[in-house]
Amino acid sequence: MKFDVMMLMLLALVAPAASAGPLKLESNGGLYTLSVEGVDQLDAREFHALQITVNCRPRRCERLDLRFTARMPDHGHGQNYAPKVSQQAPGRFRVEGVRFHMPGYWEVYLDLVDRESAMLERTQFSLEL
Amino acid sequence: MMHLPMPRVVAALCVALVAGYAQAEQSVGFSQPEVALLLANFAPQAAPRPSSKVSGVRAAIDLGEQLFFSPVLSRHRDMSCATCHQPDAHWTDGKPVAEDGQRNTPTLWNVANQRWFFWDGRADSLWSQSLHVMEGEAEFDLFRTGVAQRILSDPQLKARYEGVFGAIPRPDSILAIAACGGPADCQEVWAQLEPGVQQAVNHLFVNVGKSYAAYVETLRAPPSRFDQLIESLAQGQPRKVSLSDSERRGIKLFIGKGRCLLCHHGPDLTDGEFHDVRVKPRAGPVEKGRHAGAASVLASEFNMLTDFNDFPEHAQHTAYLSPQPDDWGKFKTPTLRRVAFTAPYMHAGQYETLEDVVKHYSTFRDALPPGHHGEMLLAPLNLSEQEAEDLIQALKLF
Repeated sequence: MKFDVMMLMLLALVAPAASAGPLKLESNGGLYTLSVEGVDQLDAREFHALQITVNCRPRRCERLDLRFTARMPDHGHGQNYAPKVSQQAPGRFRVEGVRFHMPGYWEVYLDLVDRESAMLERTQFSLEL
Repeated sequence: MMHLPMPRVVAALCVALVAGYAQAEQSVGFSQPEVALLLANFAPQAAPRPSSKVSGVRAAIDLGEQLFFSPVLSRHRDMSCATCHQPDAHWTDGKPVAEDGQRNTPTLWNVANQRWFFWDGRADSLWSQSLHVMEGEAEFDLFRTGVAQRILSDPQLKARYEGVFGAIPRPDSILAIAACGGPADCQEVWAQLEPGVQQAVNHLFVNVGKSYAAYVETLRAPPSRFDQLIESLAQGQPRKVSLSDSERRGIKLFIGKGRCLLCHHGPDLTDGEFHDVRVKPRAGPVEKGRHAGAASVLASEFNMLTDFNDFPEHAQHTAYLSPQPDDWGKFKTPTLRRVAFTAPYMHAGQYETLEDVVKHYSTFRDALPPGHHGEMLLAPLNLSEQEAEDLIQALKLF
């Protein structure tokens, strides 16, 4: 990693977040679209929560679970803390305890699991913190 | 993969430029981004968060100070906190590993700012850290019933304790508990006690821990030349602090090529988290490190998720802690405050000098192999002799 790039990443640690709307994503297989609220607040210092709404057919939503993981591929490790996912309504999830313990490049994975078919669809986005 | 832009980076750069740090760059040799980086990552020390309701209470601090320097709570009355945390040695003992034979003694400067304690983070509060020491087989080796009895048996200590925490409940029952020594010898005795007596002992035991913590929280590092530099940069007066060329180059390396800043940032130059920086154990296989520490803190009857914690709102780190394979071999990032005076270094004192430490990161010769649980990003810095010397000069500023 170039020095300038690293400095820019580290600067982002404390700079105020720009306001933005929910992050819109589509799962890799195209089965779901997701709206992720709270991404603009994420930093490498505090715990945060994300609100995730999955757009899916009603019957499918009822049997859907969400798994949240994040990794630093350049470092070869994930988070030091394990966020907790709770389902608030079919297709609506809250992820609490999201903490990125280091500045740098993170990849975030949102895995949607259909409990009936065990089919898993992954959705992902990346962050520079 | 969708990749988010970095509006915050742009905002931070603009702040630095508007604040007129262009002048600072020319006078101290730091670029504008470097000045912004230094100011963003080394803010002045904030007042520490209290660890308990008696934090900052004068009588509790005094009781904690007396206990800190007294061997009264060690099983054989031959060891105190100050045995390893010596004031004249910046609260260390100068040995590779402490009396317990396993870990290097860390400094106590600004320890109140930390959220995990011990190299493996097996305690999540300053007061519960001292409970481990009192019952530690290689440390005080005195079971909690013995701790309670010694407080009750000493009129002066009892009076000071009750002056802080109020009357000790069930004193006669506690004094009647059979003497049993260390934790390993006391399990049978403990199991036979009625719950009310166990509860009284536990509360006294925890309160002693909170007294130790109240004192240790007062150990604040005096301002360093690095603090003065940050202050002068914040004031836009970089000339207020005189730094040698080598020191300036060292700071640039610290926040740049050396990548030290990735883990050593914040007012105490530590992220308070756990990493595997490829340091070989003194002997034997790779140690469990954080893997064991995380499991230990979650299993503790005195962690921040219990009723003994006076501030449940401060328990987030424990609430979201989950032992995972990645934790294997990780140890806590140590503070760099007064690091020039706290040799030897690393979790088991593997390196005797700062030169050795810098050589480790420069070459990774004789280090653990990369990749397996370690920070893959760690690659040899390949520092020149001059760069290594500059980095050491910078470390001496902290």
